[in-house]
Formats: sequence, C-alpha cells, structure tokens
Amino acid sequence: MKYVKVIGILLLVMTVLSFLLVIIIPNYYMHSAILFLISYGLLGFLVRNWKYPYFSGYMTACLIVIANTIFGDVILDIPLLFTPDIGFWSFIFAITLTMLSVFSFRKFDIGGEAA
Amino acid sequence: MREAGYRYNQNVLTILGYALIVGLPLLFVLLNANFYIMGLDLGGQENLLLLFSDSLMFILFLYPMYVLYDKSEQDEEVSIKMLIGCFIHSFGPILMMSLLVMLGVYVGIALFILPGIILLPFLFLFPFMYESSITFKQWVKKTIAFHNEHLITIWVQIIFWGCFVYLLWAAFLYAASNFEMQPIAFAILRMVFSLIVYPFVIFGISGKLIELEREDIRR
Repeated sequence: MKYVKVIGILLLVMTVLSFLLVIIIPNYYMHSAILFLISYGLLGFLVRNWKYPYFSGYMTACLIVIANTIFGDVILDIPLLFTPDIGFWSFIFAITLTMLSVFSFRKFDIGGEAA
Repeated sequence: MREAGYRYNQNVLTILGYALIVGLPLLFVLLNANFYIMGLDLGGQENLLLLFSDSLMFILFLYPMYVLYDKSEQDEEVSIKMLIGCFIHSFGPILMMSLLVMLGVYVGIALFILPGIILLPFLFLFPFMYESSITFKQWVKKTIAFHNEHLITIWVQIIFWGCFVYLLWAAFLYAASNFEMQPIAFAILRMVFSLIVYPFVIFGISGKLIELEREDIRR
C-alpha cells in the first residue's frame, strides 16, 4: 500500500503542476523538463528512507512511466506505447533521475533521517 | 439524516474550505475529462469510461469527509490541512481500488450481467472502509466481511441516496431550464450542486455505516 500511496501522490503532483506550470512557462520543452525534474525528484525524496530505497524508486518510476504511456496511448491517442525510441528514453530519464535523487537525498541528508 | 444535517451545520466552514481547495479542482479536471471522453470513439467503451469518471467525482471526494464525520462525532477538532493530507494519502489506493473494481464490473457484466451488479456496491464501499495504515489484504477482507454481513442495508442506502441525489438534481435542472444552458454553464451548475450536496450524502451514509460497525463490535 506504501507504493500505491506514493504513486497516487506523484500522479496528483504531476496533474496539478502540469496545469499550473503552463501558465508560468510557455515553452513546451522547458515545461516538460521542469515537470520531470520536480516529480521524479519528489519520488526520490519520498522513498529515501525505506528499507530498499533504490529498488523501490526504480520500480515506482517504471510503474509511473508505464501508466503515463498507456494513458497517453489509449485515451489521448498519442502513439507512445509502441514507439521504441520514446519508451526507451522516458524509462532511462525517469530511472536515472530517481536514482540520482535518492542518492543525493541519502548522501547529503537533505530532509533528515536518511538511514 | 437529522444527525448528518447537524454535523454538516457544525462543520460548514471546514467543508466549504475543503470543497474549494480540493473539490473544485478535482471536479474541474474530471468534468473536462468527461467532455473530452464524450468526443472519443472507442467502439462503445467510452461510455464505460464516462461512467467511471462520473463515479470518480464522488469516490475520490469521499474519504476525508468520512474522516471529518468520524472525528466530529467524537468531538475532536479537524483542520482543513489534515483533510487535505487525508486526501493526498488516500488518493492512490482508492483510485487503484476503484479501477480494479470497475474492471471487475466490466468483466462481470460480460458474464451475464449479474456478477457485475453484485460487484457494483464495492465501488462505493471500499473508500468508506479505507484506513491510513491498512494493508491491501486486510482492506479487501474487511470490506467483503462487512458487505456479506449487511447486504440489504447497503443496497437500501445506495438506492435511497441515489434517489435523493437524482430527484434534487432533476429539480435543479428544472429550475435552471428557464435559462439557456451552454455546456460550460451546465458544468458549473453541476460543480456547485455536487460541492454542496455530496458532503451531506457522505455524512448520511457514513453515519449509518459507523452505527453498523459499532453494532458489530458490540457483538
């Protein structure tokens, strides 16, 4: 249930921020990059003091990417799911960012109590 | 119903704050999703999606209001901050569970309709049975046990409150039909109606369910 809670928080943050950031940042690429940074950074922050932080971050990032891709493919009709390029790079970026944020939150102990 | 009205009156400011901060954006997104889904062509499946996003408006709104009723019955103070925390933490599990139940209903309707109808009340029962530190297995077990114990009461509650909301909404629409209704006006009317009426409905149902749970514990 812990995993599902974190996924729910991330989905909420992504939805709310993507609406709010459109007003502030008109550039499409900047918008997605900043949204990406904030959401996966937050994921790393949330899982930093679990028992298996790297594994949890990795699996949750994978699940969120899959959910986003399926949503885009089925409902918004954007062909993401069977485009190898896009799939590959979104997985790589999401997982790398999550790993990096988990690492940095544990290493520099930002937010405290990292075991 | 009288108890629900009393509690609603007692916590009206908290409810209003919660409805403005959480409920309004939620309904805004979901109603826009509705308008988008209406224009899709997925071979009939878009109707199911429409039904699902319609019920999500009630289901995702529900859990913090249940907590508010529960706390106010025990004379504890509840702040809006805590309600928002409740919403954020319960969002993922309840969304996932309602997706699963909706899939079950979809398959059940394909299997000669009856299994789907049997599964339907779980869509509204699961959020009421949620607790902040409950595991998946316990949640399902507790809900199924409660459902089997109080089958008739649950169906009576669903039918009663369904009729209540439906009749009120019909009266609202009749009153508003004097004006020319654009889709956006319809959406705003529905949002205002939902934000005012849904907490009352949730209070009514949760009062009944808490009473039943206490009876179970006494036994």
